Amino acid sequence: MRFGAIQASAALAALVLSAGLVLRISTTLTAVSPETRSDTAASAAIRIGDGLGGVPMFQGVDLAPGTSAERCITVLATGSRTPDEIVMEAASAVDPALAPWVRLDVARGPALGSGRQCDGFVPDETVAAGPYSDVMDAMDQGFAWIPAVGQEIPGGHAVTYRIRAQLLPETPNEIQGARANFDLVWATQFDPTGQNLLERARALIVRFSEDSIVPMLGIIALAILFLGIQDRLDVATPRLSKAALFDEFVEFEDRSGSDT
Amino acid sequence: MNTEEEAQVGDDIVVIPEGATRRETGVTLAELLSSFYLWLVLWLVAWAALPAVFFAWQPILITSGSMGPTVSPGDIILIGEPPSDELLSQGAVITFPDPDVPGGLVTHRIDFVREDGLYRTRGDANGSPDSTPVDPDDVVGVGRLLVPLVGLPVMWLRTDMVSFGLFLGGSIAAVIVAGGANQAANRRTGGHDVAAPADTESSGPAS
Repeated sequence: MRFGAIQASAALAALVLSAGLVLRISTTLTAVSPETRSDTAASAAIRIGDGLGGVPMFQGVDLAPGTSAERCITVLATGSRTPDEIVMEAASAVDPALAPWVRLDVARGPALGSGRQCDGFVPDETVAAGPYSDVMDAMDQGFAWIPAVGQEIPGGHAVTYRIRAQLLPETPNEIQGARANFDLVWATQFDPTGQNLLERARALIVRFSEDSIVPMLGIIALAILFLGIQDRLDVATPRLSKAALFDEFVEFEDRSGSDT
Repeated sequence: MNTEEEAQVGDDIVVIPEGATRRETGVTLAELLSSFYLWLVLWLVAWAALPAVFFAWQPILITSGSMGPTVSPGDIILIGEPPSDELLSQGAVITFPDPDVPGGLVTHRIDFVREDGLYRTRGDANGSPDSTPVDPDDVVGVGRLLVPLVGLPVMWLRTDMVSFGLFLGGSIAAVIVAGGANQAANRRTGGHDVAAPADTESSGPAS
């Protein structure tokens, strides 16, 4: 095989493959049915839930100076993919006069199950602790939980957060009646196809081979196998192994007048 | 005839210069695959660039996974002018201004066309439609061609220098490997045709 021929073959094969990839994948820009899209959305789902069933954690909690209240919530991450991380964020509305007198402690530990009571909760780590405003400021950046290193449950992972609110003993009387509300949100982002290059390549092959008669992977495997075998045969064959590789090296000698 | 020393094609003798055999300077599988890889990259870039030149389709780099698995981060989608006199149909992929990010663009699929003519859009990977409907007049373009992977190096350059370095290093290695045979030939020939040295010519078959 000559060098130029090899380059031409490689260029042609790459052109065919790239054209096949682009044209095949581009059909999905218009041809995907809503049903198919629903399936793909569902198959890539990550579900985040809690064990409270919609019951507010601190609804109607009254605190007197020097007292505290604590509630627990179990966060569940289930679905076909394990998210890299689930971030806890908070949105707060608090009476400015009250904020300096409230201390929050947020701890994380093994999952308890349903309910908002913290009986049996054993904290693994303190996520945040300090004055209300400081904790809420930190919450703006979010606190990440990595499900993959969390407690496994059927179909996913779980963790329990304990939030403890304390009204400081020295809280003045004029604060009486002040209110604090905060919402906790757990959110995640993920790439359904994965960012890893190998995962991307695999997803690309799957995309290309969808509905194809001949799987893309098979074509690539056959092409590599053919090239490999052909190369081995060429090198192993004495005549071919001696064959000139470049045009400028080939000379043909007129042997019509030779006596050998 | 000693076939290890001689090569014969029919009645013609192939004159083999020193070191120009396939065994010694032949194209290896690595060189072949390197050439194939480089050509594949070149063609993919061409698929992304040429329609922009000839059809004025605008290339858009996909940076989020909201359209997965159909469209992935690192893909380049080429968008064309939307039709001015008719509504697009359900299933079309459109690019429109991001209602949450000034100056940003979103590429999502039309989930359905509302009775008031606005498009309700949704990312394929999202479980629910986008909250803000899209006015047909706001559509920047309609997806015409999707070129996979070709924008990944640009994404890596922005967010993942390790991957970008691996890509760059691998590509440079592929260039070196793919050019190996050609460079070897040029070194032997000085870049021009030469006659084979007399002492390397093979004689005819032994009688």
